Amino acid sequence: MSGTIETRFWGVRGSIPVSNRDVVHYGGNTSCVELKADNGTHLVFDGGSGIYPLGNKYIKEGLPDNFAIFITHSHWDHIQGLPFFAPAYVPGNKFILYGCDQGTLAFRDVLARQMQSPYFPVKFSKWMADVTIGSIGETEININGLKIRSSYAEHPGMTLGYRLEYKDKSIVYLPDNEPFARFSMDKVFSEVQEEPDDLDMENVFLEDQKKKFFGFIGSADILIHDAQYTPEEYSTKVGWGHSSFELALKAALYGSVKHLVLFHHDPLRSDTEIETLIKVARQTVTDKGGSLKISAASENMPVII
Amino acid sequence: MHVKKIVIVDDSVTIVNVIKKILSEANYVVETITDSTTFFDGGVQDFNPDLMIIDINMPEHDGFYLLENIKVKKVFPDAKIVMCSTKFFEHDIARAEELGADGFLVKPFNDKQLLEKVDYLIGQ
Repeated sequence: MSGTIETRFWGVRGSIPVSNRDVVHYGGNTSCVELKADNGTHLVFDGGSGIYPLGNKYIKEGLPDNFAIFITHSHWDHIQGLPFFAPAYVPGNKFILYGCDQGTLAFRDVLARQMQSPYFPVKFSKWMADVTIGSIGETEININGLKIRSSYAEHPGMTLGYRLEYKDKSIVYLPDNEPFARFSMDKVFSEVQEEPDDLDMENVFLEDQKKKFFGFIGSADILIHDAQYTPEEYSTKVGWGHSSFELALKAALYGSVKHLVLFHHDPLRSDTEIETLIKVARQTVTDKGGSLKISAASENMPVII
Repeated sequence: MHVKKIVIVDDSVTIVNVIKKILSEANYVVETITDSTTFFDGGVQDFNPDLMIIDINMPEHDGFYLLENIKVKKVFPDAKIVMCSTKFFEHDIARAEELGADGFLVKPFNDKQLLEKVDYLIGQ
């Protein structure tokens, strides 16, 4: 049974929005991705500054009946656009907003705090739309035939990634993720699947992590993954919670992903530099004889599967 | 001699079993919980552990949620708490300490590191 999903990027940048001539092509808004299924259901991953223009579009077009926003975590570049999401202020609009608690701090309170005085003049309670807040951890949610699975990512604080499955299509969104940082990359991406020796704890931990991570991204039609750094930059930023494009590429190849979209571009990364990263990544795939398609996320870029 | 008791809370059955095996061989008495939502529901209430090893990334109640509630509700107030996680970030290690954890084990760790941490806190 075939379905169609259109993925459109409204914010592709990590850390902080940027605006200058060097980022005109790929864009400067922070994380926000819209997914439209052919059954009329619309989902949004993250509420960075890119959700501001997306919200303005929905003011013109009207919000669909089945609409939900999934937040990965509460760092500003993933929620800073929510106070400016105009459909939330329109009575009669209805949607669900999912995300994870931070320990005993409920997801609702996480969102409300960024709109408290003196940080913002309009309180969260002033949203006039009928908004249901869903606190989730690792779980599975079904919305009108779309299955959304959440899994914790490797990033400071509680952070989720999402896998959307609709009919025969799958899209994985991991915008902030630094997996396997304490393991040997040779072992992580080894093709040899050894039965873990339960006396070798590192091996046990590694196989546990690999099973979880590759079970989550495996065979996805699209993997939208953190690629904030070059390998050289990453070597000085281990533990910051982000990946190099090289790791994203290796993970996509190992996980038999069909299309890797490099995402969460560093705010200092110019359009020219992103083009170079794509060329390097594509050459790597060619050299390996693979068929993985590679793109870098750019604002307004549609990907239809 | 009072035999020391340890509770392991981790959603990975594989990890729980490996840690339990190592600690049991070191003569600790070990109970395990793989569903964090059952922690406060009596699963280990009669066990009265000397130490709890708690994973952070768990599906329902994450490890920080458990840690905060254990401290607020004064559950097993004399027990030591070690958080363990693949989250090796300074932010998370510092947060565990702020919330009252007595130690942190970053995954992967080996049996020597595990036993050193446990023996240091409740050595028998």
